[in-house]
Amino acid sequence: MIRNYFKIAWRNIRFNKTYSVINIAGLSIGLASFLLVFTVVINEYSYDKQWSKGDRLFRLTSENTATGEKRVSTLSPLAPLLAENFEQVETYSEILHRSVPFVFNEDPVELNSLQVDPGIWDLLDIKTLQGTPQKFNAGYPNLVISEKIRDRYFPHTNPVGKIIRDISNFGESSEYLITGVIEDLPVNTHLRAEALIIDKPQNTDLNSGRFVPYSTNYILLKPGVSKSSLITAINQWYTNLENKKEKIKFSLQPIQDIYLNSDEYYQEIKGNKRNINILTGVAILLLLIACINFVNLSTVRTLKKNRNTGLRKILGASRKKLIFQFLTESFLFFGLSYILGLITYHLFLPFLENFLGNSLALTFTGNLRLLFLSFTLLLSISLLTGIYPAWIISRPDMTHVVSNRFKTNRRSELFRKSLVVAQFVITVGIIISTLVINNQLEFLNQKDLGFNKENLLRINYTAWGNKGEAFKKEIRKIPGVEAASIGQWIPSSAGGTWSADIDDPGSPGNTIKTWYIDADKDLFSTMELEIVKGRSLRNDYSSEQIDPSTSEEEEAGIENRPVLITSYTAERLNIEKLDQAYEEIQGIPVGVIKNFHNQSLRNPLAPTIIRSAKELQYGNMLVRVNTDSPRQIVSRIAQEYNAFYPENLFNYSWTAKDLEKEFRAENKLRTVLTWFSLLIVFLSCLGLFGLITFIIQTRTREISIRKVLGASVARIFGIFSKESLILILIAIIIATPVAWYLLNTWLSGFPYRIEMSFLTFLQSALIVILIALSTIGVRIIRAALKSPAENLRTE
Amino acid sequence: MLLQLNNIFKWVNSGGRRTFLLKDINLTVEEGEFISIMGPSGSGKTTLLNVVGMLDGFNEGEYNFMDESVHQLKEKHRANLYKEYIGFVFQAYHLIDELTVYENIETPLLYKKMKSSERKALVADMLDRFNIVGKKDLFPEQLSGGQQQLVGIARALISKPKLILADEPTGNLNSKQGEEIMDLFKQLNEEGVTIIQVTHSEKNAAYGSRIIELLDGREIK
Repeated sequence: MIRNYFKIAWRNIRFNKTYSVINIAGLSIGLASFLLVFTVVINEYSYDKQWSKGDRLFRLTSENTATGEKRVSTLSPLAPLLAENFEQVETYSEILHRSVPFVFNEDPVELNSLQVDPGIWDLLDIKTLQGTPQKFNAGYPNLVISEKIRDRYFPHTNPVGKIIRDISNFGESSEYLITGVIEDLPVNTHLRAEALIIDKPQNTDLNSGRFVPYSTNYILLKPGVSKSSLITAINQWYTNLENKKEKIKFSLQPIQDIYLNSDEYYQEIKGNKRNINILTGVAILLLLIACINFVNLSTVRTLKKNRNTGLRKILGASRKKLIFQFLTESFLFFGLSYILGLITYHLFLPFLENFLGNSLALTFTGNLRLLFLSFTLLLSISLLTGIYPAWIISRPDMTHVVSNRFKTNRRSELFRKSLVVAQFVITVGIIISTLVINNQLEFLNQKDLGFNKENLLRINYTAWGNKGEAFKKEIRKIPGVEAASIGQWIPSSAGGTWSADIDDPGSPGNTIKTWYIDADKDLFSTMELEIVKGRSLRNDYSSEQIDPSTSEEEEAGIENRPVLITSYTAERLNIEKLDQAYEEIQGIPVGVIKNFHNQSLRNPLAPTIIRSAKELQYGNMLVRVNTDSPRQIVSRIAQEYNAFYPENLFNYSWTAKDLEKEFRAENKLRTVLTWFSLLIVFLSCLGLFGLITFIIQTRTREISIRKVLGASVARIFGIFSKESLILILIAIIIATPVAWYLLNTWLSGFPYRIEMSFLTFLQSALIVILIALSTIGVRIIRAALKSPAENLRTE
Repeated sequence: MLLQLNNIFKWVNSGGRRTFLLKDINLTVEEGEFISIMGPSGSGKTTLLNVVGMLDGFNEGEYNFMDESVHQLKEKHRANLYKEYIGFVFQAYHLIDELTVYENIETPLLYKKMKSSERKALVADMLDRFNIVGKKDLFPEQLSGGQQQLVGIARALISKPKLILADEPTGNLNSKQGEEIMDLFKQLNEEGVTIIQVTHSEKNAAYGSRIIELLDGREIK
């Protein structure tokens, strides 16, 4: 019986080519995209779920209760102190991402490393391949490299015991002892790294009065310990400690949550839940459209299948059997599409990994359990999608056969029309979204930042020593270099070298976060800032420059230092007169410059003060070049750099690119949405095409009679396209407010945003109408051009 | 006695007026009879045939089929009854166009519990008997009208019905093909199958043992 069903189903697929191609193409595209997106989703959710002690492993985070600022970094001696004072803490380690350039066989190699304590082995499941790195070797920081790094740089040798040097762009270079080789760390962890640098915690005193570094601390709790009562105890304990500067509240973040729930933290490797949700939504919608195509094409086929169904009933088929037969057919469709979709999926995986920028830990074709899961999913979808058409198709009564009357069912027709509307609501919605997101990102890209971001080169953080000025002079000599500046700030990272909370004159009791940028006076010309009022900082006026060699006591006259402020600073801090000392800002504003976005456009403007510094020992360098041959200029700069600092590694980036990276997630979303909207438009039109094909087949006689009665082709086109057009218009009316609302929510996450214009919506509507009409037009016109005699005769 | 209709009425209501399709029909059919129903278009011939075949219901009256009271049976029982005992032959053949000749004949058996080998044997017998073995893999549209009707009859016969209901079986055929089909019916009848046919043609009606004439839903004597 089942074999018979399969045979007939297969024959139906082969004989009804248009129908089958539309269905299978649609479904396989839908399934492949769905699987691809779902792979991303599964991988995003799999982050840090693999650690066997994951339920007891936490990251210590802090919140400044005065400003509300949340940070992942805490004082680095805190973890050992907690272990000492709280018996609930089993062990701890700092885990800090550091990109360290090492010298392997004379070559500089930058390793993405984790700076950790010896306690790391008790926290994470790390498998050792060579050496016993668990045993800490005093004397050097211990370096543990991954299998991949060993294979690449130490093939066929045992690196354990080797002493390796790093390249430090600031300070002395250090030596490391390789103590082991470990299996590559999983891809799906926020602690993705190629090497571990293990060192004993240096300073365990919070109150030594010396500089205390910050780090990221992870602690492992003993089994059965309540996290909430422990954190209360820790906060209590910390409040009772003396000599602390800030009011800080700690919390413990479960390691499983770190990747996806760290929106408020600065963290290199993290996911974006909102984007995942958007992606999931779009993928489901795409699959939904493919399924709607299937349902619509199947039900519209009842017009042709009615007779056969009735006949089968006369020959003894029960409705149950007919439903089952149709379900077999739909399963065959889904099964074929699934195979095709899976192949497509597998072929696209490399592109996906390339697009994501990292490899995937879990894929449907690389994991039997996931493959099985996808198959189960397919079965359910095919059942869910097939059941309605099966119901409709099995309905016709046998009397219809003998009386030769088939009524088209009003209800199922209405349902079909609703599905078409639903499909086009999605289509219109996705087109609007793509356009708006595109516009917003273009807007951010084009927005005047107050400085010229193009052709602005950044040289990595370097200990210039006292050769900085000389280096700068040499750089300036390179043709094509227009200006250069050493400073302790670069666009797109923090808003300045440091920040201060200054009392808000507008609302007493509140403070305003104000950025201070320390840089040499060339920053002004290098960034191409604009003066609004007053003057720029001078070079020859030595009192205008900070001398970093002066001690704090000598800096008593700090309030008298001239500074530049932005217009916004003047406005917010009520600074009306220039050349007059303002105690709150610790300086004399001598000039007001046009506002510029010292932070990425994710942040609203904040008051910013530029101070000029002489002979900065440490910092980045910004270089303004002209456009002609940036490559050549970069290599010349690299030459100079290596001549001045032979021990260092030259690294650079373009500011425009750095700024773009801030919106990498959004840009990726844009790319994906563009593709998906193309697919969705394609699938919707495919469905519409199939539908109109069948409708015309059942109405060829009507077309011919109309023609005989004198209707023109245009007239017939009008009659037949009117129905589709009405459905699409309804869809546009429904989609527009929904899309507007959702996009407005999305846009409200940006401090600088576009206002959606009516034109965007009109544009989307026109695109959809045009594409849809041309799709169905092809069919209608072809039918209308046929000789009526032919049609009427064949009936 | 195979079946008996007592005072059967069937009507439709349209626009507040009741139109009778069948009016007080009384009919007794014995096993082995060959009955022809005649009458002008719209006289209720096909309706009567459908009522007899249980494809259509009626509004009033009694219908007994092999000692079962059809009018009291539930839909499902009724379906079982006609599946078991009645075969249908149509004027427009009504073969399933997506199935081959072989599959069309096989279909009624698929809906019964039957071993696949047994099914194959029965279909093969039937193909043999009607001399259409060579055409078993063709689709209905590839056959002539007469051949299609042969397949239609083979399909009706495959489940060994006691009663064959034929609605103008030769209506779409030329005279030679029609004669062949009628000869076949005659032969089947001689083998013991009860046949009720609807026909326009006196000649075809003559093949039967009894003629029932209808006019406006009423039997005229």
